[in-house]
Amino acid sequence: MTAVNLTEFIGLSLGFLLTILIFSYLLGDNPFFQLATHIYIGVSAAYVALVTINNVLIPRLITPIFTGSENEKIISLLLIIPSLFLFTKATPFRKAGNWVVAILIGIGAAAAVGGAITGTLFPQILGGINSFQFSDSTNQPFYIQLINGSVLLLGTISTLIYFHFGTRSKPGQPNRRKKAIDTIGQIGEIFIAITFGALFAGAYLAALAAMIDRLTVLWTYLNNIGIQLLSNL
Amino acid sequence: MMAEIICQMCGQANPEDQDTCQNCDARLSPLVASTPEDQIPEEPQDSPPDLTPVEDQTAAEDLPTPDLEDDDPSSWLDELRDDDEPDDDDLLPSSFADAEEPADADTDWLDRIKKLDGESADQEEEIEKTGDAFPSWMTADTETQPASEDHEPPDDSPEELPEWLQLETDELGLEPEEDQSGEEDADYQQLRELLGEDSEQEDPQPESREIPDAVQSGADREPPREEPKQEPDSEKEERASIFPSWAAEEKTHPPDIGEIDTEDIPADLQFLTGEEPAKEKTAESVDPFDIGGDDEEDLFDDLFEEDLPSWLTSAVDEDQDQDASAAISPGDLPGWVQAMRPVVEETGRSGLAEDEEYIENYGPLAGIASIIPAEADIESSKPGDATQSSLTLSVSKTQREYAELLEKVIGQESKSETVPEPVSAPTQRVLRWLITLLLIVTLGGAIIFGRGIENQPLNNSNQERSGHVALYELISDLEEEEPILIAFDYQPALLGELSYSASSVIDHLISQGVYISMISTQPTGPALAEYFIQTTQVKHEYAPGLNYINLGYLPGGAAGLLSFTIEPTKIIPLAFNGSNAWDSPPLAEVNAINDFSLILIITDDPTTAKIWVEQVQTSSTPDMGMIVSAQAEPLIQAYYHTSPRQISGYVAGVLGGYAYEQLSENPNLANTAWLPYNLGIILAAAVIFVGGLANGILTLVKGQNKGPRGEGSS
Repeated sequence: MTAVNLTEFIGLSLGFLLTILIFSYLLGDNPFFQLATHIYIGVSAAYVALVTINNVLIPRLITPIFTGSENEKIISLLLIIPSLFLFTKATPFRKAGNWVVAILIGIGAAAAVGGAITGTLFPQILGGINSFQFSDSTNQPFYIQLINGSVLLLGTISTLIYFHFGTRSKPGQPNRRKKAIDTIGQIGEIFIAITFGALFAGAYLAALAAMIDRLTVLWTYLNNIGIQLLSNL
Repeated sequence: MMAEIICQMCGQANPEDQDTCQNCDARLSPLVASTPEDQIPEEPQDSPPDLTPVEDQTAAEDLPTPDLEDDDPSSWLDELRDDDEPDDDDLLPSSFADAEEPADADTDWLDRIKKLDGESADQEEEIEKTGDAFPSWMTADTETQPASEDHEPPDDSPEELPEWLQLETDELGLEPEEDQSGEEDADYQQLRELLGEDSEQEDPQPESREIPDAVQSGADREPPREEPKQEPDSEKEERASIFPSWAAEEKTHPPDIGEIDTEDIPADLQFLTGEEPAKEKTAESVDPFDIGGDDEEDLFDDLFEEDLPSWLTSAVDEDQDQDASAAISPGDLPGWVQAMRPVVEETGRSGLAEDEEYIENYGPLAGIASIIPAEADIESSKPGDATQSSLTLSVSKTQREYAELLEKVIGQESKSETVPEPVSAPTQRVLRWLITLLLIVTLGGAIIFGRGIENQPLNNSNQERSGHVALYELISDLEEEEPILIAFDYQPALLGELSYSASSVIDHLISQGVYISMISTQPTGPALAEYFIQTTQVKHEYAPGLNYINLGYLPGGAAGLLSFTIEPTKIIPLAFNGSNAWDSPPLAEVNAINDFSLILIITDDPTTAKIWVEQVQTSSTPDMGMIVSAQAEPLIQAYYHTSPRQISGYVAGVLGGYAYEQLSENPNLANTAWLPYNLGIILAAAVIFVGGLANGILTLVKGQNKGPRGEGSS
């Protein structure tokens, strides 16, 4: 067995073992399952730390100080102190860390909000309007396009109205929504239920694919072990 | 024309026969006419201009002249006590007084004061030797001044004067210093000048140091007065009700501090003991006519000799300015400021009486009335005696309900609730094991024994609107060596599913000969990308750096993605393996994300897909395709089926991968997983159907069982 095969064999053996440990959750929460989860969490955290150091901090913060241009050196030196926000709990530079966190949150929120407006909200509104722009390019009959547009409009409006919980209080009567809003909201509730059902089905399909992949890996490992055993005989 | 009388109080003209003013009800004619003895003798050239109408002067001349030789000794004092009303002396002009100047110069005690201005010190000594002739209020407070060894105290005793007059005399300290030092004589000289000028117009009382004979005789006939220390408390209280507190107290009654050791008292509070040295007491007591030093004397002279006080006139005079600045020092007020204060007797009290006006007697505010005493608060606020006042808020019923609701919510948050462990029925555990066993057996059997089974092709009736078809057409249009960007943004748990979905698509891309650049916004993405290339595309024998490049991890989330969209070369200068990412020929011309021919996103999270669409997609953005998990497909379809399309095509789940493989006629991983995948779907549908059917039957059976019992019970 060569070194490459040995490494592959060890990797496959660990994969097989960890897969069995995870499958042991069928018997309930047990130490084997906890051991596997702890290993996954520890390895993932260590790997993320290494990637962050090797792929972000060293090439983009440390290396430019020594090998970068003048502008890169200045920027890197200026970023050294704000980078200490990683030690906000233990260093006296936590004030600078607070500024960095504030800047990150502000820029992130601005980018997210701006992108949501220009990338999702307005295009989706435009798409809802254009759903009633009938054309022959879709190769669909007119009534089909009309039905599709109507269902899309009804689903959008009824779903939005479902989340309207405003009521008017009257003395001696319980607070309830208006009857029209309540009725349209029930229609929206149907659309929401269909959406959740589709999402659940998608989650099941994703899990089913993952299970098939794991069973395939187990069979491949056992098959390889068997081949190895049979070949050694 | 009828003569008119001008009211001296309000200035309104009144008929001649009116006794009181029609406007202000002030008496127009004095009740007691002035006498020549009461007039202030002064030099004609010093008298102010006579502004009184002629009618008033005539009326004043007609007033009856009281007989000073009257037996009533208190008549002169009665006039003093009537000062509240406009006195006849105030009404009468000085010119009128000059006309009535008495001939007897020996009894004119004011004349002596006038003469003091130009006389020598010897003459002053002669006058002071007759100090018994001066009223006691004009004499300095001998009790508060240090006794001189060379001079005897003045002969006039407080017993010879009215009680209140004696009190004022003691407090005002008007009597000159008994030691005849030159400095103090100068002070007294200035004081005398001031009194001579002011009293001529305002004070009807004789301002000479000589007591009129009538008063002197009356005072002599008064019964002997008891010593102030022996005065009963009732008299004190009575006097306190008549006079202000600062006047009711006598300096001859120092506070009883017999039990207090004066050595323990700080120097600043020595004045409270009443036993401090005479010099210190003089310095501490607020004497309105006490002029401190030479500088203050100058200021004092300036104050009364000019129209403006010296501190105002000195604003243009640098020399005087320097003198004033030297005289005014922190904590040492000028003499003229101290002179403006009323004389305050040391109260000996630390608090404020309830119905008594408080007058500050210490510090810069000494002499000012209605000052909130700090001592009272300090004394009343003893440690441990703080009274707790209730804070009763005026809240409405609605506010109270909201407050109770908030308190209830907060209280529930602080309580830790023990979540009971769900008790699984034995049937549920059996069902779970049974379903698991069914899945393992079914899927395992399909994996082991289904490799040889040929899969059925999908129905292609509606492939025009399918995402995988659009993506296939998009990739098919790519040319060789065109740079494309693939984002591996999924978790390792979904590696199997996305491998089934993306293997055929990546294979199609490699077959097109494009140059692949891989990136990830998740730290685990670069490793997954390498693993994907090395496991699913082994047959292509792609080498990193030659056929593809891994740009590694892109931090920053949406902000980092936005910055990468603008300047990718500066955001990620190095590849995942540390090499220069942009040196390879396909990427040499890439300066922005628009330079890529295609952007392909592989993700299992709809949020990640949404961020890519929102941050990257612009009007000039290249086509964007997606390979997503089945659980993200419902949310991704909205970006594909909208008009205009925000993503050009997509492949979702195993189904999409299998469809793409069939479309590309290149069976891959999705083809191997297709049979177990379908069996798993069928099994899940069967379990749901059987479970629902069983649940319905059980519910129906329970309803039938409850029916007879309900009927029987009813």
